[in-house]
Amino acid sequence: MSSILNLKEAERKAFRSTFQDGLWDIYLGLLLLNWGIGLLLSKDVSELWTMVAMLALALLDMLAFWAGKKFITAPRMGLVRFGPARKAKVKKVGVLLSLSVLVGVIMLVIGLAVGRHPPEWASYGWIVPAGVFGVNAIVVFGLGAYFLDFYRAYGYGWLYALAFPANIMLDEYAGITFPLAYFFSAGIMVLIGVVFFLRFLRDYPLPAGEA
Amino acid sequence: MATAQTGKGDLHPLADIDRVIHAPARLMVLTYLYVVESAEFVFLMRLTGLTWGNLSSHLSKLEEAGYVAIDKEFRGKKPHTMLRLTDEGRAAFREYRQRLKQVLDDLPD
Repeated sequence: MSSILNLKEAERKAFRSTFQDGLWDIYLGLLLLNWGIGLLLSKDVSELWTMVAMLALALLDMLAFWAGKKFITAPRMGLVRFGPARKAKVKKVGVLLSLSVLVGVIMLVIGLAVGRHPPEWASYGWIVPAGVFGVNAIVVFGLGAYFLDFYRAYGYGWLYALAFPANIMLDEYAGITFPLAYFFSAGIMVLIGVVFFLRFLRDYPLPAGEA
Repeated sequence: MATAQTGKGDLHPLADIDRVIHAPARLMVLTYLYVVESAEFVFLMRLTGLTWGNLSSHLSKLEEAGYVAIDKEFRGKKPHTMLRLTDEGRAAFREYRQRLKQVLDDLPD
């Protein structure tokens, strides 16, 4: 009885149920995979076309995510509108993500500048953008996990954070030019998402009656 | 006629508890509807683990009591049954919760 009267926990359970389908895991994994694909493409095509391809892939990921939520999750799980407190939390995460993108763009510009004209003080110029990228990922994913009660995102922050420096180190010290770290980190996230997705399909078949 | 005195361990307030809410399934439904703005029938079914028929029957009782509003919406060509607590239902749930807490808190260890 006491647990049913714990309204915070009930609200959390209701909200967490929206992550049971694994689509967020797959989506975040695919976004990281895009970076790896971008690096692969950049060896053969110009920077501009690489950016265009990455943008197209990001849009494709977003479209697949939206379609999955609309045509697979919603009919099985049903729709819910949360209260003002939860909406405010989601808004906070939106602001954080926007800031994160901004930091990402600044980091990219710094990275390009440092990469092309490395100053003498930075013999390992890549540490600066890699560090900013890593801290940014850990902070943003951590705060997102906290505000959205999406606990797997704590781990995803680390996977994002480690992919960038690990990839550079593999390239620099082991001579592995294939963006292995991105594919590895993204693969873990996509795999977790697929497991959740399959479990979701098994546990929540399409309801027989009229909704 | 002697009147019952209320005090520590007195269970009389339990008799005044809202029986429409007190059934476990309905209490679950109301708890979830209390913490969201509105939810679709299917969502509530998934969250509570109740069957289609069971949830329908409990919702009918809650609707009769004026605690739950059932709105039929169309998204495209598909019908959706959206559920939300009425102001009366929200007040009744708050009062139920307060009363039950008081009874449980007053029980001796």
